[in-house]
Amino acid sequence: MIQHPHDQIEAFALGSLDEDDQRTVLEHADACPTCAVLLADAMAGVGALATLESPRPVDRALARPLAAPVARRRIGAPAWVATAALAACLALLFWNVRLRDDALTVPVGALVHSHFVHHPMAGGPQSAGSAKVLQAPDGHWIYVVADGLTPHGRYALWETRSGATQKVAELTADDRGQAARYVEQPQGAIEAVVLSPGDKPFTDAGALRWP
Amino acid sequence: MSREIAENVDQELVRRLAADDAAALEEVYQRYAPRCKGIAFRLLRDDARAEDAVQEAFLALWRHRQGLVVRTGGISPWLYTVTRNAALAIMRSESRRTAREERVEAPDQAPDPLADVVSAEDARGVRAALAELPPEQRTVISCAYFGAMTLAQIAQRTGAPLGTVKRRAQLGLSRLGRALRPQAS
Repeated sequence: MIQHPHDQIEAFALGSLDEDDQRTVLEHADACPTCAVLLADAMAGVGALATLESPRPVDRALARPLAAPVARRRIGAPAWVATAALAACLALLFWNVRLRDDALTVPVGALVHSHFVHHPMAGGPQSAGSAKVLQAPDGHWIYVVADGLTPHGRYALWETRSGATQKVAELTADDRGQAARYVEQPQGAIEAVVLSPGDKPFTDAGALRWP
Repeated sequence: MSREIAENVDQELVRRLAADDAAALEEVYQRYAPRCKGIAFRLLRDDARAEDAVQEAFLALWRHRQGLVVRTGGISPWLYTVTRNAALAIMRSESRRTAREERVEAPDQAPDPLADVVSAEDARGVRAALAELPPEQRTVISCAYFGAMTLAQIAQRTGAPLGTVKRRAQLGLSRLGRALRPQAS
């Protein structure tokens, strides 16, 4: 028998549910028009309250890669500021992303149905730019996107798994100082990711690191 | 753009999303991401985390694009709700909720919960609708939405049974939702 989450509709709309219950409600509404209508009506009240909130600027350039004709899409890396993961994820999720240098095709089909986590990478005292790493929860892929790097600078991508650190990719920033790289690998916990201009990822003052 | 026209545009965007038209997602982002970010920022007081919440909401929009139902207010209520829920999840994951709740005073002693919400011309009707809610419904809505309290916490705070609080939330949201409906001309 189908369990309709009628008694959770208002709690969902007002943010009272934990993440698992939120997911359950949304997934149920995907397949149940009756609950979808109830949910939409409850959300309308929240939508009304939201008109009292002040908009804040977002980097509209992040959406620009989404507008280009899909058939001719070639993405070096979306401009990365704090929300770069949005453009990166969307690009990853919706199209075959062809990275500038290596024409690597990301397996979109696998990613569309993947959950992922993302982390900002912090810079050392002499680091330039900023970066973010997205990863599959089981560690079977990572995607690093960076901006503000030295134009045409060469960088190495390092990863620590099971206590061992190894270089997993090399990449070159474009003339705008942007770079991105997708790496597929066996499953396993990822302990650290470093984007370094040198060969000493943990002592290089110019590296960007997570954590 | 009138609200009615905006809702028609949203209907078309939802249709295109359901057809896997990724360009439609960009249009939705252009239209609604700024207010989504404002919603998240008020809760998180941090641009980067607010943007994370917005990102989660737009990814969720894509994941659930096949089941979207557009009713009053177009697609924005869905996005605003999911963004806010994502921001609340971030708050909870950072264990900052407790500190925040300590700052939320009892409803009968609290300052105007709208005090830090910037007014907007198009929000006048919503403000009126909120002011016209029966006090017990307004308390539930204000504590839940502006105070980020759960319905269970509101029940505990007010002494009302949880089922009663849910019913008040339902009625209050319904009245507020009607404030978004296009006016008959």
